[in-house]
Amino acid sequence: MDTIAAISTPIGQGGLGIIRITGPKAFSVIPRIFLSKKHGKRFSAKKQLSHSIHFGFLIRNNKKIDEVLMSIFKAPNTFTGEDTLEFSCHGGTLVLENALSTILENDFIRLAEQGEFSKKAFLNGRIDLIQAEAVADIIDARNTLALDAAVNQLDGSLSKTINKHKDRLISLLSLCEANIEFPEDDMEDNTKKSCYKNITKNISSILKDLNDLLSTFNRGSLLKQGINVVIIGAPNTGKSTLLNSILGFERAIVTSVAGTTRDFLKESLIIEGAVVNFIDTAGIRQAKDKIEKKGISKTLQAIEKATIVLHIIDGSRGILKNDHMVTGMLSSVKHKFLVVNKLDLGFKNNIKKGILGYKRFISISAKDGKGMNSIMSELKKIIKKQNTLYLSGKAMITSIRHKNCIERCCKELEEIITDIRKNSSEEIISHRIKSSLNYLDELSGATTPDDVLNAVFSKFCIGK
Amino acid sequence: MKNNSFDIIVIGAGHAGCEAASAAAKMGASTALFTFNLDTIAQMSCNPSIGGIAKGQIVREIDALGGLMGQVIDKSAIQFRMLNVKKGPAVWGPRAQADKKLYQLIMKNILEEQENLEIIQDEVTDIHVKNNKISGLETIRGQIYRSKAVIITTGTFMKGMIYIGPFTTEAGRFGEPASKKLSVSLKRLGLKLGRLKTGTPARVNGKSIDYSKTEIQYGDKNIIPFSFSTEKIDVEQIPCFITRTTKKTKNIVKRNLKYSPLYSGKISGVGVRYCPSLEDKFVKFPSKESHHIFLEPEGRDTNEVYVNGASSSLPEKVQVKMIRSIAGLENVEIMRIGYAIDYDFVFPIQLKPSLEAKKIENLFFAGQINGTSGYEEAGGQGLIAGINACLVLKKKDPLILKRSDSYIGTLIDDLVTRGTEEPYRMFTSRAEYRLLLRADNADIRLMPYGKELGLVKKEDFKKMNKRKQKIEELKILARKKSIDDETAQNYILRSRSSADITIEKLKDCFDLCYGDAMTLYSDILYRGYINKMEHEIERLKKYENLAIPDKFDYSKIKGLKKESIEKLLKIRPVAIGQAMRISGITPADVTLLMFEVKKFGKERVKIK
Repeated sequence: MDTIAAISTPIGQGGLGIIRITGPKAFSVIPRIFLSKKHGKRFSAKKQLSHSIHFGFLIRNNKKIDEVLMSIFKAPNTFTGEDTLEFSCHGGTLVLENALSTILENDFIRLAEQGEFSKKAFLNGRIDLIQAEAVADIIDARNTLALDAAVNQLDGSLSKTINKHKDRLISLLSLCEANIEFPEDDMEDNTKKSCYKNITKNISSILKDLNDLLSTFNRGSLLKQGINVVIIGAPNTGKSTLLNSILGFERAIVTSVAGTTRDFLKESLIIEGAVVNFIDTAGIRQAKDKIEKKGISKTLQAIEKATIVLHIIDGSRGILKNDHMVTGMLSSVKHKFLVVNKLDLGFKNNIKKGILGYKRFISISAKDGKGMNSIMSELKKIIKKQNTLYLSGKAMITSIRHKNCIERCCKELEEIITDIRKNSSEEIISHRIKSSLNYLDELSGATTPDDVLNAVFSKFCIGK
Repeated sequence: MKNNSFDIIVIGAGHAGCEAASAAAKMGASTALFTFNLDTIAQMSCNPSIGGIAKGQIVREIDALGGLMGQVIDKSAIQFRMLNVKKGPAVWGPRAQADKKLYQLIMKNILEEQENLEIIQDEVTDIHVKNNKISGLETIRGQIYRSKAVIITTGTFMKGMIYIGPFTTEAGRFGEPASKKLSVSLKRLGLKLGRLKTGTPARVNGKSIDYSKTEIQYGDKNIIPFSFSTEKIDVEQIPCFITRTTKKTKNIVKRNLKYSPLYSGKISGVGVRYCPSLEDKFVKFPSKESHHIFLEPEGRDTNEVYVNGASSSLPEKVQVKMIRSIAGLENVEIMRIGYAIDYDFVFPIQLKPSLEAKKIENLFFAGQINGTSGYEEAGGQGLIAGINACLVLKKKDPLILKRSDSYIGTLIDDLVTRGTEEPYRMFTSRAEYRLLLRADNADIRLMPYGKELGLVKKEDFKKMNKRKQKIEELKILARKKSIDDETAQNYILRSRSSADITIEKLKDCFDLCYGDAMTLYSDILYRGYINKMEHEIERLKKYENLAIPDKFDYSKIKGLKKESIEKLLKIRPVAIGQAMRISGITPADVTLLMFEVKKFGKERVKIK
C-alpha cells in the first residue's frame, strides 16, 4: 500500500485549503514538515489520540511556510481505513502547492491519482460499492443539492433501503424453504396456501416501494445532470436575447459551452441550489431543405430532455403560422410557458389570454430585461417542486446501474405474483425470490444460503 | 502370513469408510479397512432410515458414481416413501426405512467379497508420517502397518463423550469404546480439532406401544429404487406411526431443564439446529404446546422402535417419564435410553477439495469427522476420499465434483471453503443449482465420471446413455413449434402450461418407464430456469477454471485487506471460483486477486 497525498479542496480562491495524506507511512512525514506549537520538533503522533487536531507550522528546510492545523486520524477508523493526516492551510494556490511539494519531497509519499482516496476506502472495506459511487458523485457534484444527495447515499440510505427489502425477501424465502426442506414437520401456520398469501402480500408491498424508489431516478439524475430549460420559438422572436437576459439577470454563470449539437447554445445557472441548463434552439419554421429538417428534429430531441420549455413569440408581429407549428411540437411537455416578447414595441391586438392553447402568458421585453422577474419566479416554483422529494431525505437513485438492478428485480417480483396465481410449486417460487435477491445483491453484497437457513431455523421448530 | 503393507488403509467402517474402502479396492488399490468391531460395520447410529430431501439425492449420486449405499438400502429397506411429491420433482426426496441389521450384514458381505480389500478388526492409535507424507500406522497392540495413503472415517468416535443428565461416559456410541489416542496423533501432526455435539432418542419395545393412539403411515405403492441398477423392488412394507407429545411432556421437560447437560453448560460442543432435542424444541419455541413424534421400526426381526423426535440428554429417570407422557407410549418399555454425545472433529477448511489434508500428503478425511452429520453426507465424502486416494497414488488429477453437477460437490465445496461451526447437514437450499441437481437425473450427471474411474458397470452406463438420448430427442420434439399430426404425444408436448403435463401422461404417451418420464417432465417443467442456470454456469466457468498456484504469495497483492489475506491463506483456494465463495471475500478482493493470478501465469510462461 502506498502512502499518497493530494490537495483535497478545489484549486482556486478560498479561505482555507486542505492537504490530505493517507497510507501506512503517513505519520512518518510529521517530523520533516510539521513544527508543533506545543511540543516543537518532538511531536509524536503515537502519543496523540486519533481524531485530534494540532496547531503548528508547516516547515520546509526548517523554514516556516504556513501556519496550519494538523488533524490526526489513526487506522482503521478513517475514511480510507489507513492512517490519515489532514493539514488545513491558508488557501491560495501558491501556498497549497508549495506545501504539497514540500510533502512530496519525501520519497515514500506520492501524489494521489484521481479518486484514489475513495478507491482505498473501498478496497479497505470502509465503504461499499454504493458508497464508493456516492463519493464519486460528491467529487462530481456540480451543485449543493447533488452534493447533499451524494452525502445521503454515502451515509448509506440507499444501502439501508435495499437491505431492508432484502431482509423481507429472505424472510419470504425462508417460508418457502421451510416447506420444501421440512415437509414432515407440523407447521400449521405455514401451509402452502398461507405461505403464498403471505408472499403475494409482501411482494406487492415491496414492489410498490421499489417502484417509488425507481421514480426518484429522474429526480436523482436531474440533480446530477441538471434541469433542462429549453427556449423555443419561431425565427427572430428573441430567443438569444432572452437567454442573455436571463444570464445577465442571474449573473452566476457556471459554464458557457456550445451544446451537444452545433446549433444549440447551452448555459448553466444555479437556481434554488440546483443546476439549470438553459438551451437556446434554432428558430422553427416550415422546413425548406434537408438541413432545416435536421434542425427541427434536433430541437425535438432537446424538447424530449426538457423539464421546462419557454415558448417565445414576438408580440409585435402577432401570432403567425410558425408559432402554431411550435405549439404542435410541445404537446407532450408538462411544464411550458408562453413568453410574449417585445413589449417595448407594443403587442398586436390578437395577443390575449388563451392564445396558442396557453391559459396565460408572460409579457417581457428581453431587450431591456422587463418581465424577467416573472419568468424567474415561475421557473423557481417548478425547480423547487422537483427538489422536494429529495429534501425529505429519502433514498434515491442517481445511477443508471442501480436503476437497472432494481428494474430487473421488480420484473422478477412481478413474475412471482403471476407464478403464485398459477399455483406453481414452492421450488419455482423460491428460485424466483432468489433471483430477485441476486439483483439486489449486486447493489449491496451477497446473500448466502446460511442467511436463509438461519431465517428458517429462527422461525420454525424444525426436526423430527 | 499376515499382510502388513497396503496402498490404502481406511480407518473406521461406518458409512464413509465402507464407500471409501470399496471404491479404492475396486479401482485396484490394495486396501485395508480397520474397524473396532466387525459386527458394527455400516451401523446406523441414529435413525433407521436412508435418504430424505437432499439426502436422497446424495444417495442417488453415490450410486451413479459406483458407490454402495443405494444398492444396499434397496435390498434392506422395510418401507419406501418419496417425500415432497406435492412439490416439483427437483425437491422430491426418496427415503427408505431400513432394517438396520440387514443393512449392516449386506454391506459387510459386499465388502468381504470385494477383491483387493481386507477387513481387519483392530484399533488404530497412531498415524505414521515421513516428510509430511503418510507412511503407515500403528494399532493399540503395537502392530505396524505400512500404507501409502490413509483415509480417516472415525465418525463420532474420537474422544467421544456421552451425556445422560449428570451421567457421563467415554464412548463412540452407547456401549462402544471411544477412540482416545488417534486424535492426539492427529494433533501432533498439526491438525486443528474442534468439538461438535449430536444426540439420539430412546428406543422402545414395540409390543408395549398402544398403537390405537397413533396415526399410521404407510409406504408408497409404487416404489422407486435408490440404485439405477435395481430393476424393481417387490417387498412387503412395514408402516411407521405418528403420535404427539402432550401437555404433560412439556411440563416434565420444563421442570427438569436444569438437569440437562446442555442447559447446565456441561456440553461444550456445538449442537445441531435441525435435529434439536425435545428440550431444545420447548425452549426455543415456548408457544408450541405439542410436537410430532414418529415411531419407526428398526427392522423386520426386532421389536425395537426408534422414537424419532424425542432426542434428549435429560437424566434417565426424567427421560423415562418424558417418553411415557407421549400419546400411545404410556406403558412403554424403554430398551435403550437417549443420549447426547460430543466428539472431536477436524476443521474441514484444513482439507483440499479432494479431501486430502493440506498439511500431510496422502492423508484423507471423510464423514462425520469433517463436521458433517448424516449417513448420506458421510457416504458421499467417503466415496470421493476413496477415489482420490487412488488417483493421488496413481499420480492423476483428483476428482473434484462441481457445485453445478452434484450435491456431493456442493457439500465438499461448502466444507473446505466455508468450513462449519455446527454439524453440517445437506439441504436443497444449499444448492444454487437445485433445479438441475435432481434425484431422477443423478445418473446422467455423474455416471460418466463413475465409468471413467472404472466404478460403474458398462451395462449401467449404456443404459444411462440410451435413456439420456431418448429424453434429449423428446425434448427437441417438445421445443418444435408446429407439429403436423395431432397425436396425443404432440398435444402434451405442445402444452405450454406445466399444469397440463403430468409424469403419468408422459409415461403413457411415450411408453416410458417412470424414471425416464420423471426426467423428461422435470426438464420440460424447469426448461427456462435450467437454460438460465446453464448460462450462469458457463459464465462462471472462467473463474472456476482459473487455477491459483499452490504456493501463491497473497501478501504481494497491493490493496488486499489484511483480513482477506489471512482468509485466503487459511483456505488456500485452488481456483478463483473457490476464492469467490470464501465468506468475507469481496468482489474487489477477487478482482485484485484475479489480476495478480493472471499476471503470475504470464510471468511463468515468460520464464519457460
